[in-house]
Amino acid sequence: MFDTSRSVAFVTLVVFAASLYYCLIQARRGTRFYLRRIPGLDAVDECVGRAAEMGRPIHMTPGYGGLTGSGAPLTIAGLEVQSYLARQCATYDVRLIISVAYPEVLPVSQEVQRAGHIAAGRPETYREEDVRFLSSSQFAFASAIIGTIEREKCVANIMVGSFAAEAIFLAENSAQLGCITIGGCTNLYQLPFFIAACDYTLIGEEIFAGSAHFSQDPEKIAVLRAQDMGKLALLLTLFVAVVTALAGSQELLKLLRQ
Amino acid sequence: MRRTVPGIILFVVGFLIVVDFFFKIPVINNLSRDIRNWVTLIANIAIGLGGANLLMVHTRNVQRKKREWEHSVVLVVLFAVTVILGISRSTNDRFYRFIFDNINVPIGSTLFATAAFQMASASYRTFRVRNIESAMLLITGVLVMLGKVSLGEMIASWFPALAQWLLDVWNTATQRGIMMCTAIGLVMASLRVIVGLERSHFGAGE
Repeated sequence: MFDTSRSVAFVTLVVFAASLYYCLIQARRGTRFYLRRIPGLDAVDECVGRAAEMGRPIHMTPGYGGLTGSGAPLTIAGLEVQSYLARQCATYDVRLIISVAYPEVLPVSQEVQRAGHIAAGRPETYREEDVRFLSSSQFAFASAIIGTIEREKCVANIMVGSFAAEAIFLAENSAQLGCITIGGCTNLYQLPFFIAACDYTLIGEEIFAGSAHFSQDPEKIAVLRAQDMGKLALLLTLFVAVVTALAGSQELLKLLRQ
Repeated sequence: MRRTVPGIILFVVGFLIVVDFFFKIPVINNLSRDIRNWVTLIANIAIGLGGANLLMVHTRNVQRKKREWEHSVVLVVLFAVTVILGISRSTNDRFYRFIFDNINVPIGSTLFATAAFQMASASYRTFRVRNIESAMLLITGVLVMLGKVSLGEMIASWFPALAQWLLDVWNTATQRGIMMCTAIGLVMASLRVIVGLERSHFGAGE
């Protein structure tokens, strides 16, 4: 019944779930975990402030990804940033333009945008046409975003989610157009481009911290604490595997390769 | 209700998919397969929403004579032609293929080709010494570049070996660190969504 070839993944998941449960219980008992400031997420408020001063819009995209497969958590991470951004923009009367690449993201993104306006107490300022489906074709999507930024004279371009070869195109052209650029993705091949071309970069797992960072909700911060505990467990496992391998035993390495 | 019901559906579906991944239980495996089929179905229905949104945005651009509204006219016309041809004939139709192969593909390839120039201008901005980190980046970048071109080997025979060492040891170690942390982040983000700790993407409540 149990697929033994996936036993390491199963044990890992159980350990992570247990650490998540432990940290949540701690948070509910009143423990406050420390969450370091992430410059890329702090810069979101800077973008809103600049846009409000200049009376120009902000552009944001939750990436070139959908809501299915392994890219879904990245799109959701982008939508979490959009959720905060929509509320802030509605509060300060800044227009927020969202571009999505996959049609299934469109209704979710529209709803997140609408919720932001409602949370800010200004549902009447929500404009349906500001959340746009562009194209599922990679470079059509990228060039449409640059066209939007150029035509609408956006002051900032925030890109958090799943990105592929269009990353450098988006980041560099936004920078050339004078935007504050914030990029965040987990794709190792695109991260160097974001680091090179963007003003602020969210590297790898940092993109998942958005929700906790913006809300400062103890339970959401507890999830990040559980994530750190998972990283510590992984480091210890790797250390033990290296020591046992040097001692001549390959068993743990074989197990980890499963 | 608008946030509770989706939360329950998400938990049940997420739990079933996880169980399906680890266990061979025919009932759950079949259910999981059906759920994945539903996902495909819903994603395809959403294409209609995407098309409607695209038309709405661009017809408004034309109506209000917004800046560069002529581009919107081109988009709407080509959109209509492609949809009509695709539905009335087929996606293998000669005219349909002509539009795709002679407009879509070359424009995509052209834009992809410009990536080299974007990289050059981004590198120019990045490789400026502003602090210790950027100085290290510049030095490492120059060493790797010299090691990867024949000029480097002409200057010193050990440049290629040094560049490879930097890539194999420092670069790979860093990339794997990021990769493993990202994998843990993905698992935790998924768990957070499944157990209902993250609900901002559900939108507004009642």
